[in-house]
Amino acid sequence: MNQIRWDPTLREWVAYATHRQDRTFLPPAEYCPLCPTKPGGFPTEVPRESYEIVVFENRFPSFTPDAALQDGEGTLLTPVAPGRGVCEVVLYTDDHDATLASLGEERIRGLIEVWADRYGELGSREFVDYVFIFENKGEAIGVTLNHPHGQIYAYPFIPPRPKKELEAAHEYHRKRGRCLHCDIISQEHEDGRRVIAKGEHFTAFIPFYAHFPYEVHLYSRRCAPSIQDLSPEERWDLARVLKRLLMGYDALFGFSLPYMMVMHQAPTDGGDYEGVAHFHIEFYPPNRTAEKLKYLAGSETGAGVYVMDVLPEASAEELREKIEDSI
Amino acid sequence: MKKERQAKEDGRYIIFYTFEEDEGGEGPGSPGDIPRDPEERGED
Repeated sequence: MNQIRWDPTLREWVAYATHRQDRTFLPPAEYCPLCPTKPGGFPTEVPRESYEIVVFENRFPSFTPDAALQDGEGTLLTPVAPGRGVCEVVLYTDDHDATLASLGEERIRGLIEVWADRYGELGSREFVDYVFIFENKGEAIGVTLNHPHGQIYAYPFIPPRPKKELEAAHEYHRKRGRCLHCDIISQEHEDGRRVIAKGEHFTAFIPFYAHFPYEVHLYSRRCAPSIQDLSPEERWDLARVLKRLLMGYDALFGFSLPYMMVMHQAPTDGGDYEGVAHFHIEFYPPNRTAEKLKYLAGSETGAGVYVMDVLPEASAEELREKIEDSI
Repeated sequence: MKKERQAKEDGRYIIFYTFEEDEGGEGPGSPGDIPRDPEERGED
């Protein structure tokens, strides 16, 4: 059952996918469903002995293209709608023990091609308003499969956080005639203290207003609305800067750092987002130290106010040194 | 990039992506790339 229910108090949709309770949970490596299917071995999701990058429909989707509304549910106050969308799994490599950080630049560059291809294909579907590309990495984040992979949710609406960001950017553009994100990058470049890595076309920085100690935003310096709008040279540069950032993350505490990686870009609802949507990737690692995690507790979850123990300028200096050391 | 789409037994699709070397634009050896070892740049 896939349905979305409207929360009129927060004015946002909540997705229900009850079949997901039964999904595979941290199987041993020899029974990984994302590894290739070996001769004589058990059949995995990938019916080949090896592969480079693979995309397939999630077996336990939060949204499905054929979701139908069931009778007798919903009211005028709290309407329901079918959870119509697409959920895909993106396998970065057939090497079970790899991570995005350990992949070569060429493979990351290939992955960027795949992400752009999926953005275009899924976004062209009539019922898809937003293509959300993301990765949950590490058991601290709640991953159920350790094989290196990401996910794509093609939503039938613009999700609340990107929507809020787009509304802010639209308002800024209306008042100032400029892209909010371009001005943020300019400010970070001028200040410099929070910039942690720069390529020819991309800049990574811990934002002035970071919500996590080592939160990083990786921005295209050109105002490209989506990953599909990046040139070949920009895609290569993204692969290089992404690799450097992830290597720095892993050097930070001496272990493969858990994180959420999410991409924000133009919705695919047919609207005009020139000068408003600006492609970027955001990373939210939960660690505040090697042993301690930042929990989204009462203030963060119940009030929406993040309380931070460290200033972004200090964590940026620490992370920048790790990135420079790992090059 | 080559893209091969197949149907799985349960009706879901699976897409295999394969790549040729040095596809598109400036590759890893471009001027913007930073060598890992300073000695590679011939610096004193």
